[in-house]
Amino acid sequence: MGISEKEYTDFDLVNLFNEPGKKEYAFNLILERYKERIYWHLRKFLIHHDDTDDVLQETFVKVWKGLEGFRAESKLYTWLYRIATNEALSFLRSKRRRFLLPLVDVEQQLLESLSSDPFFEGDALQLKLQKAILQLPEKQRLVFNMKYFDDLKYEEISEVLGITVGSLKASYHHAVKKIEKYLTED
Amino acid sequence: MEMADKTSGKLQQEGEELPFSTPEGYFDMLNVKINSRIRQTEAEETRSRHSGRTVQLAWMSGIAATLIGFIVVLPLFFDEKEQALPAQEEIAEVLHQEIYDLDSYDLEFALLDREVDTDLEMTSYEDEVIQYLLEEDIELEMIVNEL
Repeated sequence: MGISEKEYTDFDLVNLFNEPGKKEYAFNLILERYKERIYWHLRKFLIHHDDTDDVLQETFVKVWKGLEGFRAESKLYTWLYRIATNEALSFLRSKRRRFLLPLVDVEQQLLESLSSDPFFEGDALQLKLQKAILQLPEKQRLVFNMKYFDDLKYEEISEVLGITVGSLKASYHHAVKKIEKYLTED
Repeated sequence: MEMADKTSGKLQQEGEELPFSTPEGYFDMLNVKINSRIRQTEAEETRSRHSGRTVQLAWMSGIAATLIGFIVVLPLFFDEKEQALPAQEEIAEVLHQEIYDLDSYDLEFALLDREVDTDLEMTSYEDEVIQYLLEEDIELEMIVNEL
């Protein structure tokens, strides 16, 4: 009896991808398994749906190209997170270059447009939380999102961002303090 | 311990739900969109490689023409016996002096693959030279290896 789609481990899927004639099938199973998770990881960081959609597609194009060379030294989903994160950072960098914006202004733009975004459905408090998160420096924002919303372990975030666990803990601690301060200010 | 610093105070009250939504049916269509983007990217890369290849072939045509020119002219500097059959070492030496950074595959490709869309235009005289190289079993691979 064959193995059902849901029973495939990530490891199985990577191996399946490398089998002749199974590439597309395995890729689509990986896509199905991770598309939403990676989408929300990106969406929290990029805020707008259209930007997220664009970066998500680019992320999976990179996954398609790179999966053959993927060695199971890291988990598949931390590898996917890493590609997505790098694509998102690169997207923001190119946006800054395109509009000749300094570092803070892209976040400022996101912040200003958040309340008019048709795909933002939060109340005033959630809006304020998102604004507080957008005040953080890029890397701190990523750390906060992955810890607070995705509940990733520090070891996993460390694999994604290439930052030591100690630094991540400190970074998360500072992020929480800043956000709480922002939320209590009127 | 890890959970203790995950949420605290005011932040804890905000909850961890995301206030974002997506267009209706977005995730249902996503696989098709992504697969289509992959095909598109691959097609663009193939086109780009082909165009790069054409430029490379044009460049290689120049090199090949120079190579042929030297092979043809070289025998004129020797006596009749030598003129009929230049030694492989001599060919290699000329190549060594005049041409650098040759890729044997490209050279063979440029000289022998007549079907390829390239700027390389061979005269009948050059055809004779190639024929000569082939008849004498002088492998271009060997020539290039001498460089």
